[in-house]
Amino acid sequence: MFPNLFVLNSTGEVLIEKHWEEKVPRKVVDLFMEQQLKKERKVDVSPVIETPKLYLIHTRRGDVILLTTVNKETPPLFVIEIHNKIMQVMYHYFGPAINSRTIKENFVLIYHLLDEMVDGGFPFTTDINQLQAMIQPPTIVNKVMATFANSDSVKKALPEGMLTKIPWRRTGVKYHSNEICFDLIEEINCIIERNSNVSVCEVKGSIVCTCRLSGMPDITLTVSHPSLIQDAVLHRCVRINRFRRERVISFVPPDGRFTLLTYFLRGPCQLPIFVRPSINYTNGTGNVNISVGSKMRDQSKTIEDVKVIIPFPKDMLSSNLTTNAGSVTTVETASGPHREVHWVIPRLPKDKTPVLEGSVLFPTGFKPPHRPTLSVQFNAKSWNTSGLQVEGLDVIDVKYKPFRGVRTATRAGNFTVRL
Amino acid sequence: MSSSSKKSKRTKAKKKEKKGPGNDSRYFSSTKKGEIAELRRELNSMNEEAVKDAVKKVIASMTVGKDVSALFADVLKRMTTQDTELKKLVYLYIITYARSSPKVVLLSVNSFTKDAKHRSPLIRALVIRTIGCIRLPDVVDYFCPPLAEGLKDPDPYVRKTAAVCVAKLYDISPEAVEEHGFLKTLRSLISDHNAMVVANAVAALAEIAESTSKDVFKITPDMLNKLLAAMNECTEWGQVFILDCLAKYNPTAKQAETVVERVVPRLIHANSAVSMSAVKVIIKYLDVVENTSMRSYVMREKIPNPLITILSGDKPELQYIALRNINLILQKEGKLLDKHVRHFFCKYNDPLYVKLEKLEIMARVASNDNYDKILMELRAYGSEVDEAFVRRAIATIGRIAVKLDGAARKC
Repeated sequence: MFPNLFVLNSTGEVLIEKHWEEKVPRKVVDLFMEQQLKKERKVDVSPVIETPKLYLIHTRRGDVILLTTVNKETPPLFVIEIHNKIMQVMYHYFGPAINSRTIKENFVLIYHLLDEMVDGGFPFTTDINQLQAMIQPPTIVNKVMATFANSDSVKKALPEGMLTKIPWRRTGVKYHSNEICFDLIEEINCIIERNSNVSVCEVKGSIVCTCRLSGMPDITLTVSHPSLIQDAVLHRCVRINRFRRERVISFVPPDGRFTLLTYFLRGPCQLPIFVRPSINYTNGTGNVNISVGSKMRDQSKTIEDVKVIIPFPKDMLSSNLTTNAGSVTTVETASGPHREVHWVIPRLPKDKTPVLEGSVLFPTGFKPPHRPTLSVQFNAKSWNTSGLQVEGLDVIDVKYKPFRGVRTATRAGNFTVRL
Repeated sequence: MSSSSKKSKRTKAKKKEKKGPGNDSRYFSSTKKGEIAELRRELNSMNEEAVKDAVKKVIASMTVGKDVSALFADVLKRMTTQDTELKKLVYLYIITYARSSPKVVLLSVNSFTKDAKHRSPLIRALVIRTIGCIRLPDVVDYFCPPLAEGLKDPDPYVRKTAAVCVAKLYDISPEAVEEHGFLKTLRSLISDHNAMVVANAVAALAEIAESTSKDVFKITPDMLNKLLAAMNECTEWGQVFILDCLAKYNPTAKQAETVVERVVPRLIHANSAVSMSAVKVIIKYLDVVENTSMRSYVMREKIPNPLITILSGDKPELQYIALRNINLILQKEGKLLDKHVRHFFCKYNDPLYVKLEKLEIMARVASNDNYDKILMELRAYGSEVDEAFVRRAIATIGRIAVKLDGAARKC
């Protein structure tokens, strides 16, 4: 099912190699690197590559590549989801900045983890809670203990709750101050056309929960608009039958931070921010005039971390751009045919409309082959497009009174504006 | 590489060496002549810490691709240690080099059988897991007794590992497996009360069935219920195995209806492999279902959502595979995604392979109702950067013109 795993860095050096079935020679790595050289951009290599005898399936995160070769009929999503899970576990253990150096520094731990996660080609324990109970992450406390107390990073016994009905939460959790926080985050993916029409708009919302509660709490959550989350994708801890009947989210939470549910809204939605771009090319110069502003009805809420990215062709000689709010920088992208201009506004001002204006210089007679597409990022706190709110939150089965908090935020996902 | 070898020369003084996880890159230093002899000395030393370090160095050399099979006997001697970490590392080494030194593996049989009766279930499972990975037909007979014990072990963790091991052993020596009656035991494990054991037993039987033409795995109606019950309780990967297994079975009309009802909740699972496998099963079974209203309801309301959900995710690899599958599904049910054309519009920073697949689907989904929206979108692509993409976009416009007469004029 999942016969092997090669972990490579971007130059094709093998960092970790694990085989669960018939050993596959390292030549496949060369096959893969050949395919990569054929493409202009490294990220354009297709995830599933067909060769005469094998299929090469790979996932890429930063400069780390996970490669698996299969020779039998296997659902490719299965392989890719396992890669995703492995990367998630590694992020959890070693932090979000994983590169080939981190992997080399911790290869023994990674072999232990892989041994536990995939058993003979069948993935088994990929739950972070359980893995943590069996193989300790390299935190500072554990490192100190390993040096002085000579304790193992690998436990000798199975964690309790491993094969029970609630495998996502271990028993005996204790916290000094008990609290549970919910983050309602919505991401807007949209495409805005030249004439300011919104041609595609979809919102991906998720409720993320950070749970620091002792014991085995049982939580019931109700929301203001249950029809919005009718078809939501739920975490495995949510009781499905109760959700379908009563539209109530009832669950025993795993310890730590996890995504409770994800929902999608398709159809017209309110956008909190407008962008009016205008870029005209005449005779080797481009006149740029871009304004952004808040479209929110409630003026007390501000939009923060606004960033507009404008890709110009690489032939651009120089730029002379000024703005009345925020800062402008030109960034060279390492791959790809662009030089990008980044306009960053930490907070949208209420009294004036931020405008970016100026000109960019091209070689004389140069005609830009295409019109740029802007991408916009922003973060609007305490507001979401759908209006979904947490209405009720009950914690039962515990003897203490926990602190409960809810936060809302809307971010830009893939927000593009076409010229 | 050179900086890490300098670092290892500096940290040679054992007292000042930093131990523990996070400092293992020093083991990746380059091999010099006589290093094999030095490793042999370290492996045979009395200090357990030194032995652990030596084994880690050996494994690092293995990873870099160097041949350390000469140290097989020395590493094997260390198997009797009580230290769990060291045991695991030794087993990892054995799995990789068992093929090159088969006679030496025979020496380890005694330790395996002793460890198979260890009081910790973790160690017992480790032994069985390692047995499954030693792919030597000569020693299979020696390992069958510990495996038989493992299949009946009181601890479910050991049982599930043993189920997987049977499938591996079948690969190497089908006769030994049949002689010891392991297939019958595997089939009885499907009725185990622990859902993980059931899932692994199903996966093992499915794999064995794939590799032979003999009918080792016949799903009876009774087994169908057990599979569905286990599906609710086991991990997401177990659900993928069970769903795949169901997809190969040919149900009757009544069975198909029950299965579809029980599988529909899986469509909204967070793991896209589960939802895709669920879609596969449902589409196959809906063909057999006689109840037409149920068929159209499920097809129209339930199936498009998970497909679109995977598309809206942020990982391009998942999107690519979802698009390929949607292509296939649309070949069968052309009208399924007519209303969802907008989701196939290409975003600016999609990788090339995703954009090309989306164009394919746009051409397939084009109909008289939505062709003007699609054409407008394709026109916008004409001014994009990527040449290959623009060429394909223009070809797609041509395809739509051929397919729909009304659109030809607009094209």
